[in-house]
Amino acid sequence: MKEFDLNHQQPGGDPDKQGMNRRCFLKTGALFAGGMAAFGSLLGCTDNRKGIRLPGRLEADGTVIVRAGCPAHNCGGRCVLKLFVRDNEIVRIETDDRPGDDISNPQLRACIRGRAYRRRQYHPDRLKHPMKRTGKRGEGKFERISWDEALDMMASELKRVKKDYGNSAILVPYGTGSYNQTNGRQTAARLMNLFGGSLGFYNSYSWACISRATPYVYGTGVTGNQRQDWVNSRYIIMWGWNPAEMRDGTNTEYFLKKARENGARIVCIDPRMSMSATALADEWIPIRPGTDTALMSAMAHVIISEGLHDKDFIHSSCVGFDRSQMPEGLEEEESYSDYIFGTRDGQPKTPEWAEAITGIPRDTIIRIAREYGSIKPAMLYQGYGMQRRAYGEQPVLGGCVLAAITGNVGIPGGWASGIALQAEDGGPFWNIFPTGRNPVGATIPVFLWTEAILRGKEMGPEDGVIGAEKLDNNIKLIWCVASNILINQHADTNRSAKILQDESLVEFIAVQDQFMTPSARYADLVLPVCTQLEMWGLEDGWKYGDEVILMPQVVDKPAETKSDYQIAAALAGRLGLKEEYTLGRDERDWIEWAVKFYRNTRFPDIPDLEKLHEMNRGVYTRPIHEPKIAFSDFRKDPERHPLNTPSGKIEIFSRQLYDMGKPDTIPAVPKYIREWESPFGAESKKYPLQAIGHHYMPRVHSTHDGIDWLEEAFPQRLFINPIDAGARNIRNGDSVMVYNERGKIRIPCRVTNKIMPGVVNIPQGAWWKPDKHGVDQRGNVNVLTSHRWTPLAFGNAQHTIMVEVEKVS
Amino acid sequence: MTQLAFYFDASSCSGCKTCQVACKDKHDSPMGVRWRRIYEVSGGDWIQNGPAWIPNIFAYHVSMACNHCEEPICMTSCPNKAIVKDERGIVLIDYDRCMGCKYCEWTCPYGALHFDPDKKVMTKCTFCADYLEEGKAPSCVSACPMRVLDYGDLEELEKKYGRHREYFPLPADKYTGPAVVIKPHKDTRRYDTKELQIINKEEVI
Amino acid sequence: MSNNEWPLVFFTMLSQISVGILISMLILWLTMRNIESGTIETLKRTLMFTALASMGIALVLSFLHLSLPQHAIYAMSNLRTSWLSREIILASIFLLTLAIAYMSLKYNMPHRNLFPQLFLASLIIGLLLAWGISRVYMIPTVPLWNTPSTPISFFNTAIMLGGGAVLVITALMSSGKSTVPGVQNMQSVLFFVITAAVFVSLLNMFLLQPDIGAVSGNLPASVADGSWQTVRIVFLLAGYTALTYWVAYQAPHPGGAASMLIYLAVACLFISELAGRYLFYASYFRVGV
Ligand SMILES: Nc1nc2c(c(=O)[nH]1)N[C@H]1C(S)=C(S)[C@@H](COP(=O)(O)OP(=O)(O)OC[C@H]3O[C@@H](n4cnc5c(=O)[nH]c(N)nc54)[C@H](O)[C@@H]3O)O[C@H]1N2
Ligand SMILES: Nc1nc2c(c(=O)[nH]1)N[C@H]1C(S)=C(S)[C@@H](COP(=O)(O)OP(=O)(O)OC[C@H]3O[C@@H](n4cnc5c(=O)[nH]c(N)nc54)[C@H](O)[C@@H]3O)O[C@H]1N2
Ligand code: SF4
Ligand code: SF4
Ligand code: SF4
Ligand code: SF4
Ligand code: SF4
Ligand SMILES: [Mo]
Repeated sequence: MKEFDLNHQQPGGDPDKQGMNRRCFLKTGALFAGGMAAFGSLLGCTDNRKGIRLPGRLEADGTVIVRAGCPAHNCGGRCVLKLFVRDNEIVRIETDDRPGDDISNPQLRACIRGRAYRRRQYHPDRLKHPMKRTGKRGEGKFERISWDEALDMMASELKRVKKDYGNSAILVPYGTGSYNQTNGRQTAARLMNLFGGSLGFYNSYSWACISRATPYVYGTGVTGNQRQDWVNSRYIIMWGWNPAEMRDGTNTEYFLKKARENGARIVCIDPRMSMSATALADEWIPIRPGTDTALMSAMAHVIISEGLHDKDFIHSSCVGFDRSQMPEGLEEEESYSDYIFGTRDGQPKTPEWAEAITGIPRDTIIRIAREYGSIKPAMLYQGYGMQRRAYGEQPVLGGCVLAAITGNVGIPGGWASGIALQAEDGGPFWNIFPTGRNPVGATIPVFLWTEAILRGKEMGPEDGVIGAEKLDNNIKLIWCVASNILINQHADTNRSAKILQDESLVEFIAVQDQFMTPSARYADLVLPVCTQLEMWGLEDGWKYGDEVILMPQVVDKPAETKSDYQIAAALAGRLGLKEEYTLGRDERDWIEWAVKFYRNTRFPDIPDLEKLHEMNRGVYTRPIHEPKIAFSDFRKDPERHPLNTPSGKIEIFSRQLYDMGKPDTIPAVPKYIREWESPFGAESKKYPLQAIGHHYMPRVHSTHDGIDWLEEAFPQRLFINPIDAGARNIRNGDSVMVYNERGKIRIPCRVTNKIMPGVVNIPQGAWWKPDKHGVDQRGNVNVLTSHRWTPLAFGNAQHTIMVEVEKVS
Repeated sequence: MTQLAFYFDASSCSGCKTCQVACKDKHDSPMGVRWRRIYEVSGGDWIQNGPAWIPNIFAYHVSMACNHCEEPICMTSCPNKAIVKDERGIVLIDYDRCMGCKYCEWTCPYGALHFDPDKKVMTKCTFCADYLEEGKAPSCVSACPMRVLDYGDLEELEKKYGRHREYFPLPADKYTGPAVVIKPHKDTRRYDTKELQIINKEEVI
Repeated sequence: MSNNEWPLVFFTMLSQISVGILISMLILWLTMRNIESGTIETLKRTLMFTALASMGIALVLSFLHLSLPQHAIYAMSNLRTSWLSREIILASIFLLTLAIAYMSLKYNMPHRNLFPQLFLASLIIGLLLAWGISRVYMIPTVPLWNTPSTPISFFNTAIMLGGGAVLVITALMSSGKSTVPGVQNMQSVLFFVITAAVFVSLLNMFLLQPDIGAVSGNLPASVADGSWQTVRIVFLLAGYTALTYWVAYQAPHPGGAASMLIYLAVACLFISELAGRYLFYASYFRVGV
């Protein structure tokens, strides 16, 4: 099964090849791959720029206007900033101002975070010098050292660990702080691969379940039409999807607005009345978290019993719908219809049944089932929050199946559901900076890195290890670049902190960041990095996009900061790998290389770097007038264009899943499975509230936390319903304690009707700030989250937790 | 005399506050000064019916700057004649005359006036008059990712969208004659509703 | 109410006391006949000085409320539409006429015989000022302020606390002496004036003032829950009871510790009014947002 791992490219191939991800291999084939290798030598860099060249005109007051990509954090969008630069300082930030803003080629308008970037760029707390730890790990005591000392220390630790344990004891962890090519973890990954490799990982914290599960149904993750097609839809279900806040590709919210203007009815299914529910939906349907598959099943019950399913399409293009089309040899197994009508388990998945589970009135279930079953074409779009949960694979599969049985696959205005990478080529590349092949073959699910610290040598396939029978090491050295995963973003913060504190486990930790993050506090060595506006880079879309966005250096790096690439290159020098690592290129040369890469792949007409820079538009785009429709060939002729599934058809029943032999947790048809922490379990006696932690407007995860303009607009707090608040004597604005057995946080609350009773929300990403009793004072939801992973994808189930909330006086 | 005005489409405003920060950045406003701010409005109840929860909830956002009113109460109440209305209908504060008494702030029913603790004067939306002169749209208007803000001549906007604005949380027009046109959200109620409340007061004062 | 409104609380109360002193003087002037002229002169001078000082402090305090006092030179430039501008000019003229009236008494400048005219002029401007102050707060967009209750309560403060101030001063003048002819009569008159004011105050509180309950959601908890209102009433009644007791039993026997009670009584009235004024500011909320 192919992995669709958008947040991380898979290391593999040689330097100039493996920058390309799945699509380039598919599309351009061997010829191109060969050509790319040649670039390396051709381009070898004769750049003798002095200072920073800015493309814009000098205004009377000395201001130069430069258009550049907004720093490519993992923010859900990719936008153009118009930077007003005066005396080497950014004095104002506006956004894309290209004329003719229409949906074929809309402006890439920045969000609040991009517009407030000055406050991050010029924040007094930015790291300025390398530092080494002086106190105990995690205590936060550091002293300033020179770059020489820092790099020597780093090089000798790497050599030592390699010698003592071998390369598989090294981890360059997940880190999504930068996708601008020359900043970010990929720069470190490239060096480690040249150095003999490091422990590999697959999956992401974002999409573990959805990227893993979708292909079981469709054989691919490219299940999404181009967004310009959305105006053709008549009915859109935003299922746990909040694009007005998480963007999901710049302009997604705008395309939805256009679809609605064009007559689509939009409903939003979410425990919270999200920004998207307010701004984009005609109706909001609150659902008890973790019960989506129950609702999906009940909708199927209504659709099938009322004959609203697309019988012809199911007949021609699907397998496993009912007994008549079960895979060979499995005719007697439970089909989808069997499950829905309870022929085996005795429980028909009726609206009444689902009402008790989801909290949604049965009439509402019947109504939206009828709407989705009869209004054509219709989109069921899934967000990712509901798959970052206990059995996160199930709603993904359930959504795909609903789309299939209503015949919404492969048609304009329809939507196949699932991860929905953009047709026809999967959309943007994210990272093309070539990291090289990882000589360490062993690869773990990304979420299990703390397991690999504690018991790496015991981990095998049952823990999702691939590429090796067993790991041959526990993790001993962590080089953490552009990431706050060590402490803040991983589940169960107190547990992570305890593991990292123990110097006998991980022996050396280096963190490369712009701020002293909670993860950086747990480092032995902290290296200061410039921002992405202080060096050359390039980015493309986030999930969707038909553009390349240039990120020229606009101001100097402050103090002793360096780019991630420079740090890796300097380290490469100490490891005797300078030439191989840099190929003689500086950051700008790599961007020149990258532009050529795009010319050879998605954008044949893109001008060269010099020209792009001079044009000063920030972005090169390819307007879309005829949006591509995923599976349109398959739809027209399923025999001639079979899917990449075992049956060549849409697998409502998956033989592959069946073969795993774990029907209770990995059923062959999508099923509702009660979560391991749930309001229906015994744990709810002690911890009666479900807590979710949505992706919040003012932050990119933990990036931007503590930026004043953003905090002013969206303060960190707990959202709680008046009914739950009232029962606890909590008033709006009160400080509350939220806790379960994993930890405690103290946070002010907002009492609001816009969240379902029984559910609280603590926006994820706030910086962990424990007091001396270990009570987090800032509101990092991961203090409460669980480290348990999902059964199929080994994915993070961080949103599945129960808590109690108490007023503090 | 022309009268410039804002257009705001509440039906699709997400409350993302990009406009608020675009304005802050353009004018270097300190913390607490929000020439454009976003009111989060909500009301209604949850009704329990057996195991089901029926949401009888309304909510929407209102992004509001200064409405450059036709009869600006701020201007008539300022003792210093520090508030003036120019030939485009833009209401501006003359920092060289303001003594910071904050009286205007008491009177404006749109919360448009914000005292700047650094400059020590009352400040408010200038309609980005400098940008208008350069032929550019105001910073907030060109910032909006949902494209729900616009500006133009009041009469023309009213011709295009109708004369709508007496919506909660805005007051009746009679006090100041605000130059703004609003397209309501499906949950929008009239100004005299008792059903709704501003729920993010701490974010908009 | 934010902290920077305390200067305004004191500005309004002190200027009202100043006006109130003149009102009391007028009442005494109209009702009193046979008082020894030496007493009258001292009293007049003391009262005029108190009014002047009170108004002077008020104006200084009002400056504290400005962030750029140097721009106050423009403050009288919008007499056409701004009640605040009018208030400021009235306050300034009031202070000026008070000063001249006082000078005429004390230094014979411009002339002693002009005092009655100057006094009347000050009084009239003072009354206009009290009206102006009320109008400043009668903002169309501030429903709880834009009611007849505002001028009524403001004038009432003037009368009650102005009367109280005069009472205290008469008590001070006669303290230590066994009797000062006529003073006791004056005190009875002032007692009646204050009685009327206390009555009006209660009337205003319970009948005229707009119903806070209807808009309590918009108000700070201390306003909505009525705790300040309780303070206000308790001190009003305590002050008035003490005053009554004093008038009935102690005023006829001035001197010694006995007069402490009158100071206490007037202090209670002052605290009650202060609480009322605090409540007034705290009950600010606008239509709209
Ligand atoms: N502003 C902002 N935008 C971002 C990011 C950010 O940090 N901030 N991060 C970016 C990244 S890396 C990613 S992966 C994406 C993540 O995007 P998502 O994973 O889609 O975002 P979430 O906020 O986790 O979840 C989306 C919605 O699901 C709802 N939800 C939670 N649990 C359930 C459930 O059980 N059922 C249903 N039906 N709904 C549920 C939440 O209330 C929320 O409104 O966002 C990207 N965009
Ligand atoms: N409870 C809970 N936890 C979650 C999630 C959730 O929904 N709920 N979501 C998960 C998801 S989807 C994701 S993607 C992860 C994200 O987790 P992370 O990848 O850790 O993302 P950030 O928290 O944004 O941390 C990125 C760090 O990179 C730094 N940085 C920014 N730019 C640069 C640069 O150019 N160079 C360097 N060296 N550093 C830079 C930033 O300062 C920041 O500290 O979090 C996951 N954690
Ligand atoms: S969506 Fe992302 S790229 Fe766009 S402005 Fe916001 S933070 Fe920047
Ligand atoms: S930027 Fe637009 S959508 Fe966002 S809050 Fe402002 S007006 Fe609303
Ligand atoms: S909105 Fe307020 S500040 Fe703006 S003109 Fe009208 S009254 Fe004056
Ligand atoms: S604060 Fe300034 S602008 Fe406002 S009323 Fe006072 S002097 Fe006029
Ligand atoms: S027009 Fe200009 S000054 Fe007014 S709110 Fe918009 S950005 Fe701010
Ligand atoms: Mo993510």
